[in-house]
Amino acid sequence: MTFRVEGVTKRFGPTVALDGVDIELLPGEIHALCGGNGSGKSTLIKTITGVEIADSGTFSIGETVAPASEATPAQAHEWGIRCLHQQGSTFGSLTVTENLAAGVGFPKAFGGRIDWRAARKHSRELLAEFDIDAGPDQLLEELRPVTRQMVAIARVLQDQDDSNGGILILDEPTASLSAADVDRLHAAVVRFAERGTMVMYVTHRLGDLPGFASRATVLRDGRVVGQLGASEIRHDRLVEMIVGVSEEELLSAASSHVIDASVLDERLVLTDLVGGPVKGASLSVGSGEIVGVAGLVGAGRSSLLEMVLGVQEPESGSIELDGEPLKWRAGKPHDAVALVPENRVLDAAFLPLSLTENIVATTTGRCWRKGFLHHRAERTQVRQIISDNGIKAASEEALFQTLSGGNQQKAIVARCLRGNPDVLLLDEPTQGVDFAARAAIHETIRMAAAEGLCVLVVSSDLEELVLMCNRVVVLVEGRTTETVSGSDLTPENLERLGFGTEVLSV
Amino acid sequence: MSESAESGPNTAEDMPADGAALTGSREKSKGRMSAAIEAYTLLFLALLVAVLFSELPATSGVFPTAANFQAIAGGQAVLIVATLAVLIPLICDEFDLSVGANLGLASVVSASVMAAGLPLIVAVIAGLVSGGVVGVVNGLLVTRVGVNAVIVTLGVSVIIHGIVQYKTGGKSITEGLPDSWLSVGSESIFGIPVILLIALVIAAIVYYLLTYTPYGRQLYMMGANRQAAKLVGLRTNWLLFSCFVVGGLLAGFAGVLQVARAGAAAPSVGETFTLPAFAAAFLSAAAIKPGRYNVWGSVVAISFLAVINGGLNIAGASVYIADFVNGTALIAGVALAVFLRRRRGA
Repeated sequence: MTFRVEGVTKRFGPTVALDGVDIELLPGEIHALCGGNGSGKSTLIKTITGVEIADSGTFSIGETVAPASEATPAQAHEWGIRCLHQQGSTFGSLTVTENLAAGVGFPKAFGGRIDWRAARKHSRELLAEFDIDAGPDQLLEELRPVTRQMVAIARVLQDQDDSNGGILILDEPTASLSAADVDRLHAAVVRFAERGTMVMYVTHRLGDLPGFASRATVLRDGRVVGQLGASEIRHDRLVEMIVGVSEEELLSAASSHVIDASVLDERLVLTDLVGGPVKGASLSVGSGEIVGVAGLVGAGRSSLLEMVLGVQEPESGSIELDGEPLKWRAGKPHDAVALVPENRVLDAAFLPLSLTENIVATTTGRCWRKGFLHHRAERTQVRQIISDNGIKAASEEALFQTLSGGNQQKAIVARCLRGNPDVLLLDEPTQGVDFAARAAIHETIRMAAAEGLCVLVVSSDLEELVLMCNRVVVLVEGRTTETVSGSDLTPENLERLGFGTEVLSV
Repeated sequence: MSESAESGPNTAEDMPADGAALTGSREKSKGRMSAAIEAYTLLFLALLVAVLFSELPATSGVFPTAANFQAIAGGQAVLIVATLAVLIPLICDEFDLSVGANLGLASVVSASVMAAGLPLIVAVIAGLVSGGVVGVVNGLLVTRVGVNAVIVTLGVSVIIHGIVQYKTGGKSITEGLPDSWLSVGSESIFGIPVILLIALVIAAIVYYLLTYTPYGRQLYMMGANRQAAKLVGLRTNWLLFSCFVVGGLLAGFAGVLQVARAGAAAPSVGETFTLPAFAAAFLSAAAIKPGRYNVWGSVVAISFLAVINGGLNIAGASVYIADFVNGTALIAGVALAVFLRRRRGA
C-alpha cells in the first residue's frame, strides 16, 4: 500500500499556495518534507488531513482514489492518516492517562462513569507499546519535552486499527527539543517506520535529516522542486534546493539603496542583549536606516523586538537610543518606540472600535483641548491619513473589523507613525497582506525612514528583507551571527545563514 | 453603519470610477438609515409601550398622569446612577457584581452620618468615601493580586452584606434624617423629579468622561483588546484599577440618593439593584450607539424597563413580574449585543 498525492493545487485568492504537488509515500519510509517559510508545507499537510479543501488533484491509498477537493478530516482519519501538529497538542496539567484519552474518549463503566482502572490499564499498554518512560498518573508538565512529544504521538496513533500501516505526519516535532532528545525521538520514529507506518516528517532542522530520512521532497513557492534519495540528503544540497534562486534573480534583487554605514550616526544600539530565546544580540540602527532581522521561527526574533519596545525585560545587555539607555519601565513600552506586532488581531487591532479610534489609539491626547476631545478635528486628521496611506474603508467611522487585513495593517502602520517615534519596530509587517498593500506599506516605511526614523524589521519573507533593508542581521538560536549588506544581501544568503547552526553541527 | 461598512469598499472597487462615488454615497445613506433605526429602536419601543399603557382600559386611568410619570421617573434615578457604576467596569470588559451591596453600604453610612446630626455635605462625602473604598479594594484585588473580577466583587459584596448586617442589626435607619435631603427624593421642579435631574447630571458627567476625554477612549480600548492596549502603551493596570474606583464612587453616590428616595436606609436594599443595573448596562449596547456600552443607551434601557414594570404594576400584576421582566431583559440584552457584534463582524 502506498499513499499518493497527485497534482494537488490550492489557491488563496490570487496566491497559489500549492501548484500541482505530487508526493508518494511508501510503507516503512521516513519521508522528509522541506521548504522555506511560506513554501506550502503547512498547506499541503492541511489538505492531506482534510482541514483545508484543495482546488484540484487526487489522493490515493492503494487502489482507492479520491479527489482532493472532497477530502474531509473524517476520510483522512479512515485512511489511517494521523497528524501531530506543531504546538498545543498536549495538556500539561492533566495526567498521561487523561492526555491519551483526549480525542478518543475514556472507557466507560456502569452508568456512564469513567472506568479509571481500564483507562489506566489501556494507557499502561500504550506506554509499553510505544516504549515511553512515564507512568499513567504522571502529569504531562512533569515529563521531559521529548516524553511529552512521545505521549502526543502515542495519542494520535493509538486508534489505528492496523498497526502495520497508516500514515503519521509529524510537523516540526523537534522544534522544542535538545539534541539528545532529538535522537531519542528519531529512534522512536524509526521503530514506527520499521513496523510499516508511512512517516511524513516536516522540519526546518535540515541537519537532522541525513542518516535519518529515507527520502526528501523539497517545496518552493508551492511546487515540488526536487526529490532526494537517502544517500543524496545532505545539508548543503537541501539548502540549495530550498532557496533555489537563479543567478539573474539574485542580481536583480540586490538592493539598490545602499547607505554608506560610515556616514550614519548610530541611534539605536543593542549590546549583548539576552532575554528569553535571545542569547546574545548586538546590532545598531542608524538614523534613516532600515535594518532587517532574519532567522528561523524560534530564533528569538520577536523577543528581540519586545525587549526593544520595553515589554519584555532583558536579562542582561543594554539598549541605547541616542546614547541614552532605554530603561525597563515595568513592562510599559518606551515612548520613543512603536511596534507593528506580528499578530494583528491579538496584539494590535481594536476590532469593535472605529477606524478613527484605531488610528489615534496612541495619540488620543492630540485632539484634547480645553477639556474636550475634538471629534471633528480628529476625524479630519484621520481622513487625511486614510487618503495619504490609501486605506480603503467605508468611512473614517467604519468599524475596524469591517476592513480587510491589508487595510487594517496600513492603518496600524499609520497609527505607529502618527506617534512620531524615533524607532519603528516591524514584526512580519506584510504577513497575509496582498501584493498591492504590501508595496504600499513598504513605500510608507521607506518614506518615514527617509525622515530619520530608525526601522528594525523582522520578517520570514526574505525577499521582503532584501527589498526593504539597508542591512540585515542574521539571528541564529538567539545570537546575532552575521550582518549582510550591499550585493551580499540576497534571499539565498539570508536563508543559508539562517540555517547557520546546522551547517556547523554537521 | 454596518451595511455601508460591508458593501461600501466592495462596490467602490467593482464599479467604474464615476459610478462608484454615486453608488457609494447611496449605499452610505442607506447604511446611515439602518444605523439610525438600530440606534433608536429601543427608545421607540419604550414610547410604544407607554402609549399602549395609556390607551389600555386597565391602566389608562392612572398611567398617563403626571403623578405616575413622577413616580416612575423618580423611581429610576438611583438605578440610573447604579447602572453607570456597572457600566464603567463593563466597558473595560470587567464585571463589578458588588455595585448593589456597595450602594447599600453607602446608604447606611450616609444615613448614619445624617442621623448623627452632621451637615448634609459630610454625609454625602461619607457615602462617596465608603463607595470609593470598596472600589479601591476591588481594584487592588483584581490588579495586584490578580483574582478574577467576578470572584472578587462577588466575595466583596457578601462581606459588605455581613458588615451592614452587623452594624445595623438588620434594622433600617429611619430616624433623624434631615428633611432637606428627603425632599430631594420627593419634590419636583417643573414636574420633573429633582432626584431624576441629579441622576441625569451625573449621567451627563459620565458621558463627558467616556466620550470627550482620552480616559474614556482608553477604557473602550481596554475593553476591545487589552493586549493591544498594553502594547500601544496604555497603563492597563492603572486603568483597570481606576474603573473599579470610579464605579465604586458612583455606587456610593447612588447609595446617598437612595436615602433621599426611600426616606430610609434599609440594610438589604442594595442587592435589589444589581440585576436591573446589569440588565440596563447590557441593553445599552443596543441603543443610541449600537455595538458599544454607552450612557444614554443605558438611560433609554432603564426607561424601557421602567415603563413596562410601571404599567404592569398599575395593571395589577404581581410584584414578581418585575423579576421576570428584568431577568429576561438581562439575557435579551446580552443576546442582542452578541447578535449585533456578529452581524458587524464581516
